[in-house]
Amino acid sequence: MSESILAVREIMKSFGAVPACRQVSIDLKKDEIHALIGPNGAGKSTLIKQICGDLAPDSGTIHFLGEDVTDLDVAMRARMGLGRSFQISSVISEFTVLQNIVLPILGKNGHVMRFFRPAFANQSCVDFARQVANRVALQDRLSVRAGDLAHGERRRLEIAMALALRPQAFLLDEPMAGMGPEGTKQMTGLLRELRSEAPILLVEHDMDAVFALADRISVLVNGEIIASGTVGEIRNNAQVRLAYLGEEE
Amino acid sequence: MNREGILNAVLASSLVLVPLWASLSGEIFAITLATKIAILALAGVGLNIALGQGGLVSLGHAVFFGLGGYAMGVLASHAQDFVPLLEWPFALDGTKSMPVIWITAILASSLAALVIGIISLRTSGVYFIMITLAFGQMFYYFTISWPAYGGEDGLPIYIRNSFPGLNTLVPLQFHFICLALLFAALVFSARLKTSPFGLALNAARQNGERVAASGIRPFDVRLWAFVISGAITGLAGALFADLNRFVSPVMFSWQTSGEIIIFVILGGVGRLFGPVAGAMLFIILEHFLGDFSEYWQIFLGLLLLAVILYSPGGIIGILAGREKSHV
Repeated sequence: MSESILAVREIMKSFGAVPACRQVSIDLKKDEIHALIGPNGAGKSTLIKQICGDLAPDSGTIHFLGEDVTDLDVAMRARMGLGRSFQISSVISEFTVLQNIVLPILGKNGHVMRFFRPAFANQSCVDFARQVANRVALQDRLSVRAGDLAHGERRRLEIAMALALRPQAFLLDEPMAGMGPEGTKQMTGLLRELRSEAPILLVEHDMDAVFALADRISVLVNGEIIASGTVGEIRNNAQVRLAYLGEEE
Repeated sequence: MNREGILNAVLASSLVLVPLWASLSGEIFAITLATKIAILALAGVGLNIALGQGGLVSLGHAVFFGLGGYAMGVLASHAQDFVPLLEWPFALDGTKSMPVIWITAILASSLAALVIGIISLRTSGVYFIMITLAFGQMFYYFTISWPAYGGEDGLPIYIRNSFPGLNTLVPLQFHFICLALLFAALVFSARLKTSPFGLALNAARQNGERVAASGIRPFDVRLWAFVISGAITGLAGALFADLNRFVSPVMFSWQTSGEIIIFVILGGVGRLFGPVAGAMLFIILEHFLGDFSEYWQIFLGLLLLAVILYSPGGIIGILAGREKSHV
């Protein structure tokens, strides 16, 4: 457990009488990409929301970097270095790309309560934002409004906003959703590079991408992890094939 | 300079030059109108931080305007009657000094904004509007039923308060005091907009979820914006009371809150000089159409309707086009 960057332990969550997470435990270890797969309605989003702090679990704990973060809010966990992308692209649409990337840098540095000096007068902050934009290949789009970006670019901007937190872990909720084959290929390459920065907990429906990227896969069905293992193990797991992969093909 | 810059310069210099001309040609009433514009614009600059930058539609800014007014009324009435404000636990006299009154107004309204903000910022949308309205009405009915400072009849202050080195009884001098404070608030507001805080506030207006995921609590940012906004509107209230030499519960009424919103919307939500343009148009319409008909607000209503339907950027939006990104 000491090497786990993120450790979710026996999380329970129900909405009224409907259980969404039953005793879910999942780990994210250093340098790995851990994919979380499962059919629609399996409880993936509910689990992700609890890891981020959007939802509080009914019971169970979440440790991040060895600290119990179960009671911390979203902003606190983000400042600790939990970089996140949303299932449905979530950026500041009236802001430019550069402004969007600067925002999490300010959050991470704790520089928000500064009322006079322009944010962009802070050269090291702007330089870092440009570097981050380079890494997701948005360096030529810095002054474009985020709302005017193409879908794939907006997806990469979200990754950039996570990167700008200098994250200790990434939590990416379907980063390939809605992308064409070319975009998916580009994103796959990007995620492979990100792994060296911080481990990734990846929720994804695109099985080709999952099998290409993941070191480990956990399968969530009806709010329960029914299997967890390497790509090979999951591919050959009869239960998984029945519950999930079988239905897809 | 872009079009908006030129427009802003025209608006600012008209508030300097028209009163100067009026003073030379003896049109004292025009100075009073200009002073009223400057003070109401200041109240609008305050609201514009919450409403324009933060997207917080407060229908309770009359609370801060009224608190500023009563800060002036209470302090000055004790000074003019030579009755100490407090005898226990320590003696405290009233004052006729504007700077002391301003600081009191700012402190009282920021404290109120802090408490109201902590409670009402837990809600959003129409609930936020209703809660802020409810707070306004609480203060309104409280001042009506509290006889110590005039109750429903209000409280006259016979001589305008003083400012060191100036004669505030001269309309032009009082005008420039108010104008200086308006300009200071505009500079502050412009700096705020490009500051890290302003960036976070504008982001929180658009997407609170993303702001939280960026390590910034949207609630905290909105709360501070609400406090700053209330403080500026409170300062305007103190000046307004000094202009009229009179405070009454009307300053707390929801119509007052509504008028401050109208300045901002008419001028251009979130535009730096929006409240200035809005207050100017409002006062000019009130003055000229008010002569023409008692029901001049019908025309104001039509104008407001036209602005909301056809130019969400207000007058500034019509004249200067869409806002340029400030980076």
